[in-house]
Amino acid sequence: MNAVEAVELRKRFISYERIGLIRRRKTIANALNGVSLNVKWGEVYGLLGPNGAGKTTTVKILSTLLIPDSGFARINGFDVVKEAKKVRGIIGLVLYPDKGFYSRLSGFENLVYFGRLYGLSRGKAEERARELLRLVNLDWAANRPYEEYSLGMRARLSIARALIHDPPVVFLDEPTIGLDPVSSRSIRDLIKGLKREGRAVLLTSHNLWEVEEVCDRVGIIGSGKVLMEGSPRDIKDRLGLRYVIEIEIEGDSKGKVIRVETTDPVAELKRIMNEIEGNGLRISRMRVNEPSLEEAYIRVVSG
Amino acid sequence: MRLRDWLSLFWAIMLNELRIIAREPGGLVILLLMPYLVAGGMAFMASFFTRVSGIDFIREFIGFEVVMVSMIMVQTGARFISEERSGGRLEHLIATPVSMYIILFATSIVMVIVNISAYLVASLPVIYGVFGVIGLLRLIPTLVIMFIGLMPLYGIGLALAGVVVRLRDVDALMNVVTALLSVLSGATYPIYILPRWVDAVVVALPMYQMYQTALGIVMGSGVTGLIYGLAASTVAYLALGVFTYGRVERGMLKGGVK
Repeated sequence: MNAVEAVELRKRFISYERIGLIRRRKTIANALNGVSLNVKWGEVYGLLGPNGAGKTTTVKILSTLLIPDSGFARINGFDVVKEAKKVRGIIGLVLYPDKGFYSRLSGFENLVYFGRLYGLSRGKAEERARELLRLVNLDWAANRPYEEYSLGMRARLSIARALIHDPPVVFLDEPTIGLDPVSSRSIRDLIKGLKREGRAVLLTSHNLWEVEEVCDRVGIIGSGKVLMEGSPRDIKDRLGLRYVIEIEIEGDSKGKVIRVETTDPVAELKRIMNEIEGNGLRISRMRVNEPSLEEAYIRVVSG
Repeated sequence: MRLRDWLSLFWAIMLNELRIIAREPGGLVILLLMPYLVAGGMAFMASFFTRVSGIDFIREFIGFEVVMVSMIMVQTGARFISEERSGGRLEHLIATPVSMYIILFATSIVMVIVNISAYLVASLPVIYGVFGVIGLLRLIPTLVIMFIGLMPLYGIGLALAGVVVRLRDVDALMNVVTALLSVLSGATYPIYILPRWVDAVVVALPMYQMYQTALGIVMGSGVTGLIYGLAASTVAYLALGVFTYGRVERGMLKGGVK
């Protein structure tokens, strides 16, 4: 059984646009147009897409905060609409990494409170809060009020809250947004740790380099649909993105650089090496530039 | 979930709310001083025209106490929803396995306790000054009346939460409601001066029932039939609040927390 399973999720929102001082016009936005995805245990699944593509709507439906118009979703076999309470007990959620806590309470008090809401005893909640504050490297600020936390500290505390009840499934909606490189890196390390523990993680992010680093599979979402899905490498291969091989030759042709673009870098490298050796030349430097997920993403999103 | 677990959870929510309130002590000080300032100010102005007795002062004092705690209770539910939403906590609370009704009820109980404590501390000196020890003994049952009386006001507040979610401007709405309810409280002026239909509205509201019942006990004139009205109000307004909030939450799950 998959940890997360979503089938043909559809959701539309009705909003009202101001067209004057008083008059409003009703607008309907199709946020999801049949999103289907699944996340396996011990897998980090990245959901990519431009703003308004439906990433957060998908996360909210999966975390029981929105009811889909049609389609269904199950978390560990529990239906997100009919068995919402059971689903809530087994998921951890990061929605807004920069807020969502009581500003006058300390990080420790906030975590203990949410732990209690997830059914932990006081002793267990305190123990778990201490453990998680250590994990996210916030133990030194445990008793400082949340309002004094920096953005990076808040994001790490959000992840600690998502793990307070030790959930097997974790949803992270843009957990590194606005973070400095050091904080982003610590969050990425945390996500890798979650995967090693066998949890299923659904991550949304605009940082494609980060997604490529931590995700086993990605789904590129656009206009409310999953446009392409697979491992980052698989997606690049399917799009026929080209690797760039750069080879610098030693000896007579010193300083000469051979630059080859290919979709099959292994075969191409073998061919070039044979040719160089056959001509009695030697390689002084070689570099293979893999196409980035960003290129794949732009290709998919821009159609 | 066992009863012990429920109580433990309930206590955890109450403790959290108490902690938050305790870290903003300015509001508590105002809660204690305001009735003296208002009732004292009114007595001072009235003293230019007539002799103001201790009984008159107590009448105004309890009246204003009732109006003040009532306003706070009416605002509690709507403000809670509004603040949790703007602080990004509402969705995280909904995403826990605990029903929002439990969270709302536990936080409302804290507000009731805080308000009753403020009423008790503020009233003790003035009641003792006018009635002596017997006055203090009479004060005890009024605490129960206040407890019962504040619950329907919370129910009205929960019903207002639905409007707050739609309008998104909690302050403007609350200013209107506060003004309206303070006029309709009937706790700071004699209601016989009102037109008959307004009089009927005032009597049907829990503030007037609470004020008259509490005042009757403090003055030693006993409990009137309004206590039954108060009990009925508690059930009716709380049911209205629970029903309305249920619709609000369903609406949030359909349209999203905005």
